[in-house]
Amino acid sequence: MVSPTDLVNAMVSGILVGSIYSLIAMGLALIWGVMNIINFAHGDFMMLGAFLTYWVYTLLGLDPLLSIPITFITIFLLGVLIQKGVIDRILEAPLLSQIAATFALVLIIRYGAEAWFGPFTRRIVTSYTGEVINLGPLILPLARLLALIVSIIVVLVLYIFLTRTYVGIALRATSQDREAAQLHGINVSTMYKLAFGLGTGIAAIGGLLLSTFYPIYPEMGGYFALLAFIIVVFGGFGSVFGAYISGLIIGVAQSVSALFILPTLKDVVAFLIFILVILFKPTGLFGKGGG
Amino acid sequence: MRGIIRTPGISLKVIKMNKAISKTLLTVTLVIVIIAIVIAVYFVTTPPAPTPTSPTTSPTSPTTSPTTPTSPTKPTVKEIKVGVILPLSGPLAQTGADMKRGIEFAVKKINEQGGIKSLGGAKIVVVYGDSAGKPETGAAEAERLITQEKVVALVGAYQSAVTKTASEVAERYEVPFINPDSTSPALTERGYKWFFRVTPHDEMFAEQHVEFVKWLEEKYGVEIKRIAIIHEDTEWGTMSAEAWKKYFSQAGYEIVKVVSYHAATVTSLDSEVDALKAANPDIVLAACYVSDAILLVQTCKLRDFNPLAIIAQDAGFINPSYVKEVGEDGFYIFSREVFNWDLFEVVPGLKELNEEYKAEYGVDLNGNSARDYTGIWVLYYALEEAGKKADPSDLKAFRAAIREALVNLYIPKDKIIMPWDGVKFDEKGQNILARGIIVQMMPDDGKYHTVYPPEIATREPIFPMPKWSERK
Repeated sequence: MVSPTDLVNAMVSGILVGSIYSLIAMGLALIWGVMNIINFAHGDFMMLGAFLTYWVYTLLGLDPLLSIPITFITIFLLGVLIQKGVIDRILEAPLLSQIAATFALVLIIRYGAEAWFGPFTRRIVTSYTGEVINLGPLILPLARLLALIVSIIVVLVLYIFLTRTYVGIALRATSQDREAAQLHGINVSTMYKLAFGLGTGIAAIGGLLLSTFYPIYPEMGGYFALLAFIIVVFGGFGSVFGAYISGLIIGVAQSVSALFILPTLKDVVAFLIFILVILFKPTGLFGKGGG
Repeated sequence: MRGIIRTPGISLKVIKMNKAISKTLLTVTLVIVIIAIVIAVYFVTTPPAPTPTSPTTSPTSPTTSPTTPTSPTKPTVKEIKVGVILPLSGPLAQTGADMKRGIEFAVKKINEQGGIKSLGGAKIVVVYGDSAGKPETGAAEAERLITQEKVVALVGAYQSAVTKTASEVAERYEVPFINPDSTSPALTERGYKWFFRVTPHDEMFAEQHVEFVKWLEEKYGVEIKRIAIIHEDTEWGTMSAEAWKKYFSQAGYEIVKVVSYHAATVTSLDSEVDALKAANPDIVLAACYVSDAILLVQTCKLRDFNPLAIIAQDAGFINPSYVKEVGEDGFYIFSREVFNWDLFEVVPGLKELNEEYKAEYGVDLNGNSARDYTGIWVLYYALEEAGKKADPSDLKAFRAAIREALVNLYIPKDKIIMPWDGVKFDEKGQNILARGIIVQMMPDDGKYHTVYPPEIATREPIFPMPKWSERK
């Protein structure tokens, strides 16, 4: 029934959409890994990134791909501010307070955006929006291909940052053992700001890339955030690159399963795979140790 | 990185003290703010001293109402409270905002022309309930509007699933429920006494779709056999699909594929469109909301999917932000509609009305706002009748009088802005004079034009739709 071309096409489209899931999940994993904070508002930072891209594009005419630095830096700074103003105060608070606080952020950001921008759906139409590269029977929408490339670049830059720079290593040290890091002269509070800013900034890049082929509206972050949570757990708590790979896996699982069963059930398959992995490896795919 | 080890003990203490102080401050501020809000809300929502209970202190009432000598003691009501339930927040907030404009505009027009004349010019006042797009919230809002706001009737609630639960509450409290905008056929099959649907429902639309496809076949000499359906999977989309399946297979067409998706969580429609494409249909029928409609059209283009026609079930496809954002990719798509801007060529007075509306809100009237506009007018005609028979201060009797008026109501077609034969409810509460139209987005101006039924059409349809690769 299912031809090899269909299968390859489904995998490609899974990887293309999965690379966006991955970016968003990576930001979440970074925040969780360093700070042990569950950031419910993560999807809404993604939404802000998409809206920012939209405004920069419509008001200044700057192509989304060129506005990556603007979007990243703006949301990074917003993240730092929120870390300073909100998250920093609840780091030692009971889990429920943390959840309530970040959930309050969700409501403020999402419905603030709805009140401010209006609940309307918007769209960015660039020169490459409708372009498709056909490699034989293979369908490669250009906007999504560019998104995949950018997401890979972001992962590489992040990898180099985390493994090759002093600050990146300090960040990882903080994530592994906060007190030991502090004793070694690492300013943990700065690291937290950096982690939250980076996490939200990366989510914003995800939103930016998404906005080149997906409608933009204030509620768009909700489901992407849910997927990001699942991907983070799937990839192993706090494992940033585990999150990237898992995002791709979830994306491919969704689109390939849709070939064999009703497309409606594609999310079910993704979640089933997630549950199976968690059953047999509770620490997630790339999680360390047994506990 | 500047990594200076601070003496942790001392700095921690300082931080803790600072934190303690700021925490207390924060708590106190919060408490004050909350109290302030509660007080503000109390004053805003408390009605300014009920007036209808003082007939003795209103000496003007006998003199000002010489036309009703039989009831000289009838207290003057200044306003009639009507409850409107819409999805004002949540994923459908933009559709809700659109319908709210239609409601507001109708209320403004009615109040400007002198309010409810049989009640001495009482003004209609709308109290909104926000369903947030959820059936349970819609029901809770209906209950609040009925028991706390004491509205005389309810209007709403767009999504069939919400209308269903909200009208259940209205039926229980014996409050008339006017539904201008939900199209699930099941709603009028419940044997309810207090439920009145002004709009045509999906089975009526599905029947019309079949007629339209047959008409296309004859007109263009093309044989159409294979039908595919894509729909969002809440009650509205699912029931639309069911009605399509029923009427198209009855008419001898073959349903080759049915695909559904969940609009709130859809991240990509690649698989769905591939599945449709693989089934090779002549016609695709689509029931979508706004963002997913844009995504669907985009995906059809990117995956070069070229059926002879895409016929949509209004909703997302006729939403102003869809029309604005979809651009040229939305050309040639048909949608069933209940209303269209070009109808001012066939409906007298509509052009001026639309201009006034546009000046006020910046957008054209559309199927949603025009239907809700009409819904309020239907209620108005019923209120005029009810006002002659009952006193609004006796809420129970007045609500019963409104119901009675709705049962017997007949509004001729020149009194409404919809392209219908008028408004007349059958014993199930369905407006049997309602009908749909079919519109197509035309490439010359990017607007929807009426193409069917022929007697009110303003354009000839473009069929089949050009292949994506042949468009410039």
